[in-house]
Amino acid sequence: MALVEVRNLVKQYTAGGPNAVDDVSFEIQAGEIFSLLGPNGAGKTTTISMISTLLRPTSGAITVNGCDVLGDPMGVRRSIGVVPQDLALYDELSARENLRFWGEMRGLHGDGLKQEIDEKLRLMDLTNRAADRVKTFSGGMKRRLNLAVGLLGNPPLVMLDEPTVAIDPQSRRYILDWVKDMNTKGLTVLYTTHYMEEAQELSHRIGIIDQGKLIAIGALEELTRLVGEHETLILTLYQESGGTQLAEAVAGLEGILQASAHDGEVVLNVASAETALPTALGQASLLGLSVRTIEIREPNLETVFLHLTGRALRD
Amino acid sequence: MRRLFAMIRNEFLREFAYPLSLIFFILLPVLFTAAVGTGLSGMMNPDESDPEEFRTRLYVLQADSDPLVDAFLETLETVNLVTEVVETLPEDTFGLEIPTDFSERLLAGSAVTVTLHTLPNSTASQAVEQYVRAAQGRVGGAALIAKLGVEQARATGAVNTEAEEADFFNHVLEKTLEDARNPAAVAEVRWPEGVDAPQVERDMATSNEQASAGQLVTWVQITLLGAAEVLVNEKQGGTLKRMLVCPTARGAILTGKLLARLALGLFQMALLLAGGALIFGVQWGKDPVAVAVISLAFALATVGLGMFIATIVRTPGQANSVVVGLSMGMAALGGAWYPLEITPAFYQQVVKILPSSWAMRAYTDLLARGATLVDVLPHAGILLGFAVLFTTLGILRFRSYGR
Ligand SMILES: Nc1ncnc2c1ncn2[C@@H]1O[C@H](COP(=O)(O)OP(=O)(O)O)[C@@H](O)[C@H]1O
Ligand SMILES: [Mg+2]
Repeated sequence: MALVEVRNLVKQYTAGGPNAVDDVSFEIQAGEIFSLLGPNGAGKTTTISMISTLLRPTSGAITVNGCDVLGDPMGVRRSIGVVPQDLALYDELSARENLRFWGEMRGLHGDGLKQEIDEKLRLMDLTNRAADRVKTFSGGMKRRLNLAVGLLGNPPLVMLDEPTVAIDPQSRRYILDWVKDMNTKGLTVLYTTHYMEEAQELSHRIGIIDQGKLIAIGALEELTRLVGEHETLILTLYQESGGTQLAEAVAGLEGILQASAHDGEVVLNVASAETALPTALGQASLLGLSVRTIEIREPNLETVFLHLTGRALRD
Repeated sequence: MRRLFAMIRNEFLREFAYPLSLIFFILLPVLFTAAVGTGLSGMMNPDESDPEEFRTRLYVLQADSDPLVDAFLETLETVNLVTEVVETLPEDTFGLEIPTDFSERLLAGSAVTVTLHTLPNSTASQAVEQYVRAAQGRVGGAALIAKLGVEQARATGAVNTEAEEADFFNHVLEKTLEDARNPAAVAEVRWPEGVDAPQVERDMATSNEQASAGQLVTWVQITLLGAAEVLVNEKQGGTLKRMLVCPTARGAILTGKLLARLALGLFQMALLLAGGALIFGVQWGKDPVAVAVISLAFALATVGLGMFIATIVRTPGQANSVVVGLSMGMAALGGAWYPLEITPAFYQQVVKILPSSWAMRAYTDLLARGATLVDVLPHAGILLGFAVLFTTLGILRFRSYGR
C-alpha cells in the first residue's frame, strides 16, 4: 500500500470561488521522493496543507500511513513531519529551546528528547550555535533549523514546502544533498518546488501542477517523452542580421518542425539533432553566414511544462 | 499534560526573553499605583493633604485682643475655617464682627452677639454659620468653666492677687479648649483581653487601597487580554500552523495557550498583591482565600474574553489595538481608576456588564467593608459565568480557525 494516497482532492477557499486544488489524485510509495512542480499559485501549499490536516478538503480523500485525514487526524500527524514554506520558529528563543519546545509538542520527553535535539543540531551543523537566539542566525541557518524541527521524532514521511526559496547557493546545496541522503536512509519525501532543476535532480517521480490541476505525473523520462522525440537546436551566427534569413530558409525542410530567430540566434525544434544539424549548416553556408556556436538541448521539465501549458514555468 | 506545561513554559520564556518586558510587567504597574494613590488621596481625603485649599476663609473684624477673643479665633481655626484679622471687612465674602464687650459679656454669663456676614447664594454659608456657632459655644463653655474654677480657687485661697487669678483663668480656659479639641483622648475604647475589636466598616476604600486594587485590575487585564494577541502573532510567525500539525489536539492547543496566559496573569497578580501590601501597606482584607478566589475568577473571565477575541481578530496590529483599548476602557469604566461609589446609580448598573466592575466591587468590599469569602461568592460566581461564556465561544470558533 502507498504511504500517501490522494484521491480526487478539491479545495475551494470560498464557496463558489475558484478551485485552488482541482481534482488532484496521486500516490507516494514508501521510500520515494515525490515532487510537486509548479509555478507560484499552482496549489502546492494548499495540497500539502490538506495532507497535513491543516486545511479541510472541500471534497476528495487522503490517507497517510493508513490514516484518514478527517477520520484520524492525530494518526496522520504522528506519521508526518512538515517543513513549512515560511519559517516557523521562535526568533527570541535559542535553537535548542526551539527544538525542545517542538519536540515536546511532538510528544518527546526526557533523555529521548535530549538525544533527538543533539542529533538534529549535529545533523544541521548548528551545534556550536545551539544556545544563540534564532534572531541572530543567517537566513540559511534559520532554514536548516526549520528543517531540523520538521524532522523531530523521525516520522516516516516529511513534507518540504519550497525549502530552498530565497537562500544562498551553499545552503541550497546542503539541503538538496541532505534530502537525498535522508532518502537513502529510508525517509519518504514530498517535496514542492518551482525550480525544475531541483525536481529533476531529486525526484523519483514528479507531479506537474498548474492552476490547481495535476497535468502530468511520472518519472522524469516518462514526462519528457510527452513532448515527443524532439530536441532543441540553437545556432548563433556571427552576422546578427542573418538570423531571420536562416530561419526562413530552413523552415519546412525535412526534420525541422519549427524555426524562430532572435537577432543572431536561431532556435530550431527538430525531430533529431543528428540529421537536422547538417541541413541547417548547409543552408547557412549557402547564405554566406558563418556559425559561431552550436547547442543541442535535450527536452527537460521546462519544455514539458511549455508543451503542456503553452507557458514558461517561471512566468 | 506535558504539552500543556511545554506551552506554559514557552510563553514565559518568550514573555521574559528580554529584561525590558519586566518594565511593563511589574515596574510600571507599581509606579502607577504610587502615582494614582497619591492623586486619589487628594481627591478622596481632602483634610489629609494641603489643608488651606479645602477650608473657607473668614475675615474677622475685632475691637481688641484679649485671651477670650484669641481663644475664640483659635477655635474657629480648628473647625475648618481660616481666619484673617482685618481693619475693614471686605465685600462679597465671609466676615465676622466681634463686639467690644465680647469677653465681658461672656464672663458675665450673658448672651454675646457676633455678626456674621455671609453670602446668600453660597452653599458654604450654612456650614460657616455652624462652625461659628460651634466655636462660640465651645469658647463660652470653656470660659464658664474657667470662671467657676477661679471662684473655687479664690474661695480656697489658692489665688490671691488679680494677676494670679488671671493666670489661673487663662490656664483653665486653654486646658479646657485643648481637651475639647482632642476628643480621641476622651473617647478611647479598650476591649477586654482576648476579644477582637470589631472591624471598622467603611463605605469606601482608602486612596492607596483603591489605587492598588485599581492598578492591579488595569495591568493584569492587559496581560490577560493579551491572550487576544497570541493566536494572531503565532499565525503571523507561522508557528501556529506548525503547532496544528503536531500530534496535539486542537482543544489542547487552545487550552495550553489559555493556561499559559492565565499563568502569566496570575504571576503578575501575585507580584502586585504582594507589592500593594509591602510597598503601600494595603491590607487585602482579612480573608486571603476570598482575595485569591476573586483574583482567580477575574483572571479566568478576562483570559477567556482574550481568547475569544483571539479567534476574531485578523492582524497583530488589530489585536494590539483591541487589547489596549479594551483593557483601558474596561478598567476606567469598571471603577479601577476612581471609586465606583462616586458615580451615579444608573452608571453603576450599566457597568455590571464588565468583569472589571465585579472585580473592583469585590476587592473594595474585601478591603474596606471587611467582607469575607461568603460575601464575595456572588461576585466570583458572576465572574466565572463570564469565564465559561467567553471560553465556550472561543472553543467553538477555534474549531474551524484557519481552515
Ligand atoms: N488562504 C487563502 N484564501 C484564499 N485563497 C488562497 C488562500 N491560500 C491560497 N489561496 C489561493 O489558492 C491558490 C493556490 O495557492 P497555493 O497553494 O499557495 O499555491 P503554491 O503553493 O503552489 O504557490 C492561489 O490562487 C492562491 O491565491
Ligand atoms: Mg506555496
